[in-house]
Order: sequence, then C-alpha cells, then structure tokens
Amino acid sequence: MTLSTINDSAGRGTPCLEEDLHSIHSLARLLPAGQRRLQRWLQVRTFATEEPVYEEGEAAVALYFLVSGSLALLSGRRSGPGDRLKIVQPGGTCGCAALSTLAFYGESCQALEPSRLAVLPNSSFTDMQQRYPDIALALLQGILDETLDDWRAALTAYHGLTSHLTRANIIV
Amino acid sequence: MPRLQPLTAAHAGLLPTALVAAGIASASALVWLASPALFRSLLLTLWLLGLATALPPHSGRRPAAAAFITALLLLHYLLTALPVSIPAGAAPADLPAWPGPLMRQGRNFIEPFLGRLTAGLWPGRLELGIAILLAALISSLWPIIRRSLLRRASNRRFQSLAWSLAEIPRRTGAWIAAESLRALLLASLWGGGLFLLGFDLPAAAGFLMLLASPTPFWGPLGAAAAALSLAHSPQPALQAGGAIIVFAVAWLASHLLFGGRLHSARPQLPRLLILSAVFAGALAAGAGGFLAVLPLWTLALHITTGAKPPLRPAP
Repeated sequence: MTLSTINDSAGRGTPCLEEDLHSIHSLARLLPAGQRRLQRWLQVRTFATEEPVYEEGEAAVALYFLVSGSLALLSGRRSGPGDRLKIVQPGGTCGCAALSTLAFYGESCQALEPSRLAVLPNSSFTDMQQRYPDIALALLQGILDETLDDWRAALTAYHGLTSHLTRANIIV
Repeated sequence: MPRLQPLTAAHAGLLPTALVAAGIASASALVWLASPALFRSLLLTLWLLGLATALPPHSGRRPAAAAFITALLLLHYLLTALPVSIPAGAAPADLPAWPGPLMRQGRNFIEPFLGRLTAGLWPGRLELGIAILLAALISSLWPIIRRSLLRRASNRRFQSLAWSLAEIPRRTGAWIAAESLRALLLASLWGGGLFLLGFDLPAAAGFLMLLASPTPFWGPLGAAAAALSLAHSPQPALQAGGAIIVFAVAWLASHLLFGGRLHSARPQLPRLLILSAVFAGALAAGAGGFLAVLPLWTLALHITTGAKPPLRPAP
C-alpha cells in the first residue's frame, strides 16, 4: 500500500479484505472459513505518523490488529512523555482490554509511521461471542498465545542479559 | 469498571440534559401534531426495543421472542376494554360529608384524564403490529447499522461513537426494562388489591399507577393518593386503610424484586429535586406533565451520560 493510498482513505474505516488478515498472528489458528466469517466484523483504519490510536485511561472500545506500519505502546503518557513499553510490528495485536467490555485501556498506543489497522469494536466482539462462539474462542486463544510469546521473548532477553552481565563479571 | 457506576445527577451537566430533554419533547410534539398514530407506533416501538434488551441474547431468542409477542398481544386483548370502562364508573350518590367533596374532585379528575390519555395513546391493533414488526426489524439489523455507522466515523470520533452506540442503547434499554417490570408489578398488585377491596374502577387505578411508576417515589404515592377517591363503600376510611396496606405490600414487593435493577438503571436524583421537577411539569402541562417530566428527564440523562465516554482518573 502506497503512502498516497493511505492518505486518501485516512480517517474513515474501510471494509476489511481477506488478505489483510493473513499476516495477523492471533488469527493464525482460524481456518480460512473462520477468517472470512470474522472479516465482516472488522474494518480497516489508517493512522498517520504520531497519530494516537487510543489513550491510556480511555474506556476500551476496540481491539486492534496491525496490518502494516508500526505502533508504539506507551505507559504513563497522561502525566508526562511516557515510557515506551513495546513496539508493535505488523501482525501484532493491541488494545486487548476491549475484550472484557468493562475496562479502561492500560496503555496508550500511537502510530510510529503511516499504519493500517484492522479494528474490532467490542460491541462486534460481543455479537460474535453470541453468534459464533468458536471464532471468538479461537481469537482469544490466539491473543493468549501472542501474550505468551511476548512473555517468553521478554524472559529470554532478560536471561540473556543476566548471563552476559554475569560472564562479564558485572554482577555476581 | 466504567459501566458499574450508578448514574447520578453529577454525571451529566444540567444544560446538556435540559437541551436533550427539550429536543426529545419538541420532536415528540412535532410527530404527535403530524400524526398521533405515528407517534403511538414510534413510542411503542421504542418501548419494545428497550424491552428487547431484557430478552436472552442467543440460544433461546426465538422461543423467548415468540412468548414475548404472545404475552403482548394477550395483554393488549385484555386491556382493550380499559378505555371503554373508564367513563362507566359514576360517583356514588352516598359519599360521606367528609371527605366526599374531595373524593368527588378526585373522580372528576381521574376519569376524564385517563379517558383522554387512553384515547390518545392507546394503540390500535394495526399500530401494535407495525410497532412489533419495526422493533423486531431494528433489533435484528442493529449490529449491521452500528458497524456501518462506526465505519463512517473518523479516527478522532471513533472511540466516542463506539462508546455511545453501545452505551446509550444499553443504558436506556436497562432503564426501560426495569421500569416496565416494576410498573407492571406495582400496577397489577395495586389494581388487584383495590378490586378485592371493592374500589370503583380498579383497572383505571392500576393504569394510573402504571403511568406514575417511572416517577421515583412521588409518582406511586401520587397515583395511590388519587386512587383513594375511588373508594366506594359507606366507610371510605376503612377502605383507605386497606388500600394503604395494599400499597405498602406492592411497594415492598417491587423493591424486593426489582430494587437492584432499578438502582443500577435509574439516576439517583434527590427526592426534593424530583418533587420540584414534577411540580414544574404539572404547572406547565397539567397531570400529563406530572407523569412525563421525570421519564423525559431520565431519558435525556441517559443519552447525555451515554454520549460521554468515561476517563479513568490519573493516578
């Protein structure tokens, strides 16, 4: 997708296409038929560089899947510049607080470059839970897997750093 | 947990709420002037849509919907005679010296008022059919309508629109369902009790209680006080004592059964404020204003509050 196409459609949602979902990690468990069924609940939105997607402390109303571009998850932005928690790469998911329909976002999310996101409003997720519970469960399982992958990556990096510092006799 | 906070007067500003209430009142007046039948159909459709939120969401939807429609048609069939029966109850000639004149005044108010109201608001079978069809159509198409509206919103407005489209129907639906259930219970216990006590026009008294029930505290009290004028026996004081016991039982039952629902669905407004509002409504539009002002205000409050997404306080 070129930058001009992104700018043309910026600010409004567009229908989600089948190929938009191929790279989403948390949907990898869904069969193509499930993905096609999920597709109609989703819309694709484009965000410009540094445009906020959602802010920490707002009511969580939608779950976001990054199709292209990159996002930063930030913490403590309401009281200052904020700490960067994570950079979300294409295929990643953010805004999982929206799955509960009773929560606030725990972090802010901002586009680092022109980015396309597939958006699932939590009202649609609730409808989906009632009509297609199998798809909703597969989606939840996919998000859980992604969270576990994040946790494993963080743990591996932490252990790698600790052993490096130990080998270098910086910590004993 | 944004949705678990009970709604209070502080949640929405006075001016936005007043503007929304004025908007709803003007739109309703315009529709009424254009066509009373259209107004009745729309009012009934909105009420049915509110009640539909109380239906189970998935597996049992079809049987529940069928049972619900059957119950509505049965209720309509049973109550069709109500507008006819209201003018039939003439004041007995043997009213005591006191409070006879007061009772006569009460009857002179209740009977024509309910007669006018039911003549104006009671839907015909065609209007009821249209309302059921419209409500079923809107509630089944609502997810598609919501998705389409959300898709058209800009990034900046997306969060607040997504919140409003979920929250306003949820709030108003919960309120309509809770008020309707409580009003039905209060009205049936009150009407049934007055019938057993030998009051004149117990159905009219029950109907008045049904209409007054959405006005917190003062509405049922006012309806019960007005209905005392329908006492018939030579000893109205004895009947009034019985009616007070019936009212206490109905009030207690409604609070025991629907207290939790009502607490979360109704705005927590001070009683003095409610009293001032109903007096203002009565002064502006008579008994209709007394009955309509609080439901109108509550609806406006739900809309204004639902349109404003909450923000977690900064730590």
